[in-house]
Amino acid sequence: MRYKTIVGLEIHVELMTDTKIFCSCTNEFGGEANSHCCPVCLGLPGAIPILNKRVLEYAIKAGTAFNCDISRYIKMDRKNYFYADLTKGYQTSQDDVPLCSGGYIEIETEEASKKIGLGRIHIEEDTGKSIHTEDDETLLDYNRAGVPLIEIVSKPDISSGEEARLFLDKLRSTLKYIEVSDCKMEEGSLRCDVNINVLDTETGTRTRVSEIKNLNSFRSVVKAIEFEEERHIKLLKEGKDTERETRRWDEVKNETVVMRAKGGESDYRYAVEGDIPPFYLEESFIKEIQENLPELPHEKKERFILDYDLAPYDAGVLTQSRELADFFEDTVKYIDDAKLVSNWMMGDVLRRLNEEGLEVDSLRFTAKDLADLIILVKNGKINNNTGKKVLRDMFESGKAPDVIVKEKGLIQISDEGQLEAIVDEVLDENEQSIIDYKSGKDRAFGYLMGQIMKKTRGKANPQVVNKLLMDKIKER
Amino acid sequence: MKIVDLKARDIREKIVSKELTALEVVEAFLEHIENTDKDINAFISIDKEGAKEAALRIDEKIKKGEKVGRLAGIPIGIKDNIVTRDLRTTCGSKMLENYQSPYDARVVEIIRKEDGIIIGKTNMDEFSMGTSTETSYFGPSKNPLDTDLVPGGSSGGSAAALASKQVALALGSDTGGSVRQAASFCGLVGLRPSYGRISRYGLVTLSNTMDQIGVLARDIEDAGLFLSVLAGYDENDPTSVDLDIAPNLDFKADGIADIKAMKIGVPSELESLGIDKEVMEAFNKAIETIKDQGGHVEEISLPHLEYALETYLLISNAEASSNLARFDGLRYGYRAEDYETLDELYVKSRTEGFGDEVKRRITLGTYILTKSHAEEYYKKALKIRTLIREDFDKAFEGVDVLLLPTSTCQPFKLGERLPNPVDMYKMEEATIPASLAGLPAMSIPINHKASLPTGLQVIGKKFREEDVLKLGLAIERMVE
Amino acid sequence: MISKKEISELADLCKLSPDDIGREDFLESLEEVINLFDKIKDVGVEGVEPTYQVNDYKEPLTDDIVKESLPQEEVLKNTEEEKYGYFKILKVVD
Ligand SMILES: [Mg+2]
Ligand SMILES: [Zn+2]
Repeated sequence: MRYKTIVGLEIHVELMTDTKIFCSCTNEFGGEANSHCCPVCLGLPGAIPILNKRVLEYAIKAGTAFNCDISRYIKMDRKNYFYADLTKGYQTSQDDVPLCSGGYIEIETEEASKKIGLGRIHIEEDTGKSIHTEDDETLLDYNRAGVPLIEIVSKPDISSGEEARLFLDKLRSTLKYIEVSDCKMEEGSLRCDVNINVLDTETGTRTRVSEIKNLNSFRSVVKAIEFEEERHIKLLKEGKDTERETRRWDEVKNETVVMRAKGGESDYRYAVEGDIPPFYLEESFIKEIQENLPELPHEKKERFILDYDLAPYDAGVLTQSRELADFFEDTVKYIDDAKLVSNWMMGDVLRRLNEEGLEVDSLRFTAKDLADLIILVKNGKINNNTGKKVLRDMFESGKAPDVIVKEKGLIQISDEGQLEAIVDEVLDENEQSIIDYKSGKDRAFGYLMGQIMKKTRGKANPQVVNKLLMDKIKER
Repeated sequence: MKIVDLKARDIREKIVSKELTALEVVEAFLEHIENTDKDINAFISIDKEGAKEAALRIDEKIKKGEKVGRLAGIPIGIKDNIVTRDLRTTCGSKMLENYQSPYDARVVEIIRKEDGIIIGKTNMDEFSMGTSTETSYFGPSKNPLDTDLVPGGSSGGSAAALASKQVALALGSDTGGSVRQAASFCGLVGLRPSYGRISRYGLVTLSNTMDQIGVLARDIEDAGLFLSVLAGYDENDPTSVDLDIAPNLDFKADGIADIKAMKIGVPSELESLGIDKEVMEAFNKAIETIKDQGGHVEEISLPHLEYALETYLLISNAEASSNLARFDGLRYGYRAEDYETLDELYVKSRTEGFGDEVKRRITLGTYILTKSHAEEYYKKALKIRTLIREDFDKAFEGVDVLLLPTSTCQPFKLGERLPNPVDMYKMEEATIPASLAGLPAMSIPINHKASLPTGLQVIGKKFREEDVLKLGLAIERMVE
Repeated sequence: MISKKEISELADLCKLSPDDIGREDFLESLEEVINLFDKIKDVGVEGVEPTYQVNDYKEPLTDDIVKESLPQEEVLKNTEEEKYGYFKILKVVD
């Protein structure tokens, strides 16, 4: 391939601590405007920030999950710039000594697995938010000011929109696994900026980097990368000089538009945060975090393949989120047939959840309910199709499967005597079908089956009916 | 003896023994302020009602036989860069002319808890940027010893209030030498404790790594009392220290024994500081007196002393430029009336709200931190600061305390030096080194007989305020 | 020494009027101070660690425990203009 796309991502993730990073205000999303504020996060004269220990804990968890080196020396710096959403005229962040450095995230592309390198992960504070009204006003809310963030900077190792999506999926599922962030893009707790340029491998020329902001879903990240890829290649083909610029993704136009030309890099005048004395972390603190790190997605996947004998693809899907994996394992506790559980979950359960855009934690039934349902089918109490119907009911009513079966009288009819009468009845009514079947039209058999199911309202045991029907047709 | 002439500790004593009521005390001081402050301009805000109410509460406690606090009934002036809920906190600036803090500084909480009486907020150089209290938006304070002279600064309002007996104790803040400088100009004791000794929570920041709240008092014993009440760890200030302070002083002794027991150092590099002749003469005389009383005085070396001023200016201006960025007109403070863009709102509010000295330091601090200058200036200054600290460490291997003059000059006429900022900065050359190293340092008045006051500075090892006070007490008794 | 261009860049960074801090007397004072700074060029600092703080602190951290925030009216009490609990400024273009 002549053109090589070079993408680096910068991801800001809000940590789900109880309080903000430097004060004791709640870190709850939303709330009435300016109701989660105190002298510290408002940057009032005389207030002094104090670093929340749990922020370090969570950031170190993330750094460990992503294979980073963790710095024992903690130093905070000020990034100085004026911005209406900033309360102090600077953002307290980390400059020359990030908490985590190096590391990587491994993704599975169609062809192979690939390690995307990380430059660093540092801790910093979020800004407030402004609203522009139709009355020509700007309204400022600082509830979000001081919410703890980690900024994850990838190396420019990503070479397509698809790889970016895989990277982000993995990043999100891992952060959710280790319970440091809910990663809700719609609430802004995960935000992603893209840096992209393209290299012409034949001439060695490359475009200048464009930075894309305002990406509010993984889908728009992919689309923006693909859009930019094309734009940069076109520029290269035309031999045009490109600008280093900041663009934003326009959801409506489906394209990136220029926000501002970058010109010279802005000068943030980094300086030490004098209010937060640099210090060394206790080794035991880091060790404890690392030792108690929960099982990560890829580790869980490996274990599912080994312990449950699942196909790698299935294991991958079932370990997408920690909740889903937990639900699977809980179900398996009640029914010792992992493959069967996997089939039910991969099939009807996930399909329905995906259709409705829901997560497993919004299910109205429990793992035990699902296990009971599978047992009912496995033991032939209800047939497979009825099982699917019962599951649909469970989604809606949240009722236990045996309750649904009882209420609706769905117990499968396997009694040959009872079924024989119905089969005879159907055959009497459909003589033409018998002739058709005997003259080689297999479809006629299915039709007869259907008629029997209709008469039994789907409750007939298909295996039994199948056998009876064969025998009876032969007799006629 | 008039009430306003009483020492702080004696006021408490007399109130506790019911010789005076707290209300009598407060009324006497308020009346004195009424008579003097038009000439002195020590106060930006005065809280007559609040002070009287506080006094009544104390009198009530005493009537009921309840225990009263360690500062009971003592009228106190608070520098206007220490935030208070009841009174505006202006920092001597138009920018904060009407700023009302929603919380009290830690030291203010302590003063209230200990039944001290906050009389008002004292004048200061704008955002503590100055050495004469002349950069205040609210006009300069005058030196009570001679109202043609400046009271020093930036804690000049506190010093002037105390020297004119408008209060019995005062709080200042000391970054490069403000408390000590003002004390030396007004003939007072001014103590800057070790960095971290008193919580900075609620002290409006000039330079985070050097600011310390300091105490101004009329003598060492009052200073010792005030310090011991205010010192302590505060969970709201992570730079405060969790170390007990025990000013284990015997105020009844004459201090000669302490002088004999201590090794005293004088830097051999004093000449490099450009100290005025009169100051050096007074300083040398004091040294002679100490030697006469059997003090061991020896020369020590602080090789990087001559770079202290530049190092200080670089670090403090860099920090200040960042600290003052929050004053942007959006959430509090002065906001320009006409603006069309956010940028214009910032620029106009800040240009109109800040005075020249503040703008100068912001501009310099910004310059120092820019990419092209940070390495040669800011980062290098941080390293020289290490060298200066190491100089002190070495010196303190051989001696217990150091003596230096406080200000490089004596009080001067209002307006005389204002046009030349560098001259102003140089006045702090002898106080800055202790600030850079975070050491306790105190100015004690010497040459009482001369027409103009001069201060002698005692610098101690870190967290050894006790040594500073002990030697200070001895010197105080000697020069009286 | 400080060019007009440099002054306007500095003014933009620290949000002061370039005309104001570009005044001749002001520039002169800046230059005088900067000349003073240049004295530190004589000092050798090789191998010297910077001082960020004069004291050593052991984990100067706080626990993750929520405490009450300020009431909204206290948050807004110093502002020139507010609306629906927000700080308000005239519309500004980002
Ligand atoms: Mg960032
Ligand atoms: Zn807060």
